[in-house]
Amino acid sequence: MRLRYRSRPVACRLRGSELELLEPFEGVAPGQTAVFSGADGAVVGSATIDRA
Amino acid sequence: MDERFEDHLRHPRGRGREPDGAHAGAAGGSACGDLVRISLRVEGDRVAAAGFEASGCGTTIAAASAAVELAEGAPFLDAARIGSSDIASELGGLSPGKLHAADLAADALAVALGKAVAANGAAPPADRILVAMSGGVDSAVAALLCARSHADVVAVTVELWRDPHNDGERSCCSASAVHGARGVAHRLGMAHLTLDVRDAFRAGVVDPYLADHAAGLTPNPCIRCNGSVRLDAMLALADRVGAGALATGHYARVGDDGLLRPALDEAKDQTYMLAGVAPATLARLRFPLGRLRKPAVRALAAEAGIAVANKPDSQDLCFLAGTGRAAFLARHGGMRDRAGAIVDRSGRRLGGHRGHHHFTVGQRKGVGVGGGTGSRSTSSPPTRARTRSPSGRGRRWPPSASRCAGSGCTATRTPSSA
Repeated sequence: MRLRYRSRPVACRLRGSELELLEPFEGVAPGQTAVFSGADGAVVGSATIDRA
Repeated sequence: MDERFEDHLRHPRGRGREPDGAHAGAAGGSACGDLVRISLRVEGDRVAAAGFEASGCGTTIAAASAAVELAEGAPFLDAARIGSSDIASELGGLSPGKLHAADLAADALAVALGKAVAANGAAPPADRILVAMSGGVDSAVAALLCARSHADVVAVTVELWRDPHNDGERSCCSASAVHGARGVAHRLGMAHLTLDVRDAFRAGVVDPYLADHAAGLTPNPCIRCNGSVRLDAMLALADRVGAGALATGHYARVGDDGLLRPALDEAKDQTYMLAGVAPATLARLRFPLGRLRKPAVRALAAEAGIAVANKPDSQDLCFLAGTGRAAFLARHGGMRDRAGAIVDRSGRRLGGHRGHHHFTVGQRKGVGVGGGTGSRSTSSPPTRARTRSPSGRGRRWPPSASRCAGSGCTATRTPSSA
């Protein structure tokens, strides 16, 4: 999952609408777009951060 | 004086005529004082009628007349190939000092044609592809590759924003960028149309960007623009010109399963910015640069003699181009400086700021409180707003995440990142 255009992907876990980052990531901000990718890099979805 | 020039000057074609149902485009009127306004109506795949108004020197009037004569009655895709040099040739040639008049007439014709085709054009479907050109090197090479692989290519440049405070050379959608893209397209033998989507861009991208900043959010206007404004507008135009697909200069790929996949050049990959594109839209997109690295793209442009081969990549948001974010927010969103304190999580004052809109969450550069790794916040936090994701529409999505797609996510940081 990526939270910025130029940021590295970070592992995450989705539970309902709650997104848990499994590694540190500085500066998660409401309004940012989270883009989710599968293991092969395929983009499978996205969502907008509501609270952080 | 060439007799063709004299004929257009003495008997201007369509001067003072504005056909019923016409769309108009104007050019000039600033420093030079010359002004051309061309109006035309498109019916089906042809320019059914055209006329013009012009003020200034005789060459301007003759050039506008020539543009009208060349366009009227022609298939609109042929009219979209008319450039300054064609207009000058119609007049028997123009001296370098008078070519400006042909430029104005070509500009006015292009604007009028773009509006008319977007409104009423109906070319029969063909094995045709529409290619998006922004004026930069990536989309120029995308157009070049389309020209090499398709017999029938039409180019389009969208005009998203016009702001006299912007640096036109750094904006991908300025008047000068549109002019440059048209020149490249014509050199490649393509019809070129200009699509004015400024109203939709303002409503769908800039206004939400301003509102999100006012609410203290960190918006991504490019994802919103790609997801719901410019690509959809260009695909609507593709339908008008009889094209089944739209090629762009994005660095991305689409797999056999229809899912978006990273570009070969990881440093240029733009899948993040395309994540909001609906599957139905994605199915009609082509990314000729997806298997190329940037140096190869520049080399292709240089080999083909494309003038923008070494043009620097744009770094700004297109509508900021050369202006700062804070100045833009002040000018268009009325966000003025409002001083406050910068504090850490315990409330300890670390410094001061001029207003929260100067910063985004996670920003370090320019905060002005020195090093350290602790989290900071301003003392005038904005109201938090709940937002909806525009990019979850119909996307293939793991069932476990379906609620997240439609209602916005809550991000929970691990303790070590707090």
